[in-house]
Amino acid sequence: MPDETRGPLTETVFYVLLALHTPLHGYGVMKYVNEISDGRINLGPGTLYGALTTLTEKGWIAPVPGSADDRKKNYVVTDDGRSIVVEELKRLDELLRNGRRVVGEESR
Amino acid sequence: MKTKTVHKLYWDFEKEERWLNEMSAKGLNLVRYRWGTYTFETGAPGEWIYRLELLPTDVRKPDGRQYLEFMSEAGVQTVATYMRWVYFRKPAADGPFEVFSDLDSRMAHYQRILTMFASVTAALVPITVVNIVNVTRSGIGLAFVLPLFVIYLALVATLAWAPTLAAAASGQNAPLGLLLAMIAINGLRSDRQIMAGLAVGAMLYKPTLALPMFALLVIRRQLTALLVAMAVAVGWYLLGVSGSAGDWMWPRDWLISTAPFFAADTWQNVNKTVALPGLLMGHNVPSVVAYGAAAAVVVAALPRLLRSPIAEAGAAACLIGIVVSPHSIQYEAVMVLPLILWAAGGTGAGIAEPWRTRLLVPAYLAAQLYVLTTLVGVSIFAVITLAAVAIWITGWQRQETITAPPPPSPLAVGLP
Repeated sequence: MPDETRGPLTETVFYVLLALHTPLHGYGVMKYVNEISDGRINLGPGTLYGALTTLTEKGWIAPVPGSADDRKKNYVVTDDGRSIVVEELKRLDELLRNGRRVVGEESR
Repeated sequence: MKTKTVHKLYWDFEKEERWLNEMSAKGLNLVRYRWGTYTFETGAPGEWIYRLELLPTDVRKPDGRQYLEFMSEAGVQTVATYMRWVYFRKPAADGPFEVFSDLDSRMAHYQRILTMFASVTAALVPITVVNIVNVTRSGIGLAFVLPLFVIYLALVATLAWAPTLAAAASGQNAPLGLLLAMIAINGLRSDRQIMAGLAVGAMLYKPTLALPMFALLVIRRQLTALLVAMAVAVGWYLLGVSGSAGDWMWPRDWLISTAPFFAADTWQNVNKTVALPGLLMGHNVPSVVAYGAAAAVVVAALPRLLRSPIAEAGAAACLIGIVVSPHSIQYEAVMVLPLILWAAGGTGAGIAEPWRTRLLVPAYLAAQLYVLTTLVGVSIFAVITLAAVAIWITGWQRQETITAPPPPSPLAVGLP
């Protein structure tokens, strides 16, 4: 459920939510985020574990049931999580639009 | 592979981490840590990156184990665990390694460390306050009391530090039990029965701590306190009923669930136990004999528990409870403090010189030996708690006060 009082997503949360649009386990998330950020972000396992725990508690992601053959726990984004990402994209779009409008086209 | 051992103590985990990485750069890789002893194995220089973390829970609890499993899936090895601290390493070939990659999680980690240190310090505050009150009540000139008080504070701080730290650092609540015990003893001493009863009742959160105090209230006929404590017990029971969704028989299930603590857990913790049964069983004495010995301690202590001043009996009861319980380990040794405080005069029933000094000097020295625990294979806390009980039961420390009281020495007057 989108929460009116919620601030911008942190970089960690945003990328974890993106990564989990495909079911992944912890290490998979780390690799994916590292790749799509061209190596800029190297998620610390402690940070990632904390994020997975918090996001599960919030109901934005959920463990994938029955990934039993694999000992590693897989997670996937929930509908709530998806709508959070969509909201955040709107906010980021607005930032970009306004930024470009004021600073000008040279930033393109 | 060659190994090298270094003894070192760090307060600052970031300095410690830096040092471990400097060692790793020289090809000395940490493979074991315990009580200030680092064991290194020689290897290729710069092969590993080391990181330290203070976990929110004990590593042996399910949450902690799950986290370490997660780390190993991420290619991180757990080199050593020490209370709630974990020593991680990851091959440098995998790229940079940080446990925390953003400011929020890094700050949460610092907060956790700060809370740990704060809770240790906070546990010492009530003890200090109780004693300030006692000293000021005695009406002796502050100029005279102050130097003694400073010595006394140093004494309590040093003695209390190790077990309180052990308790707080492993996420245990023994300091809370200690605080309640101090309130109960102080209540009994000043005959504030309701306060004593409330404190004893609250101690039921951990029966090991509360049962000896209940027994004391019975044998010393502290009836009002006993009734209050029992009322609190009924409160606990009803809380349990509502907490277990209306199960009026919950104590039965609870007892069944604690059964493992009487066997497997006792075995596992033999090198940390401060209790007589655990120590004996750890040295292959049959359990019947071990529990028999514990019962013998109680019987031997009974006459003194019945006759000595109530504050003294209360302090002793706390400690005896720990010593005969099948499941008490290091951090529960904080319960030695009331008896030490009593010996130091802090609970108001001071003992005469020179025995106070004679008792405290070895106790003080012995308390510093806890670091030797791993070397001797028996917890030094165990030695201290057992010795304190033995000293108290045999009454070794106060022959003078039992026969004709000697003329008071200045020191004896000094402490309340």
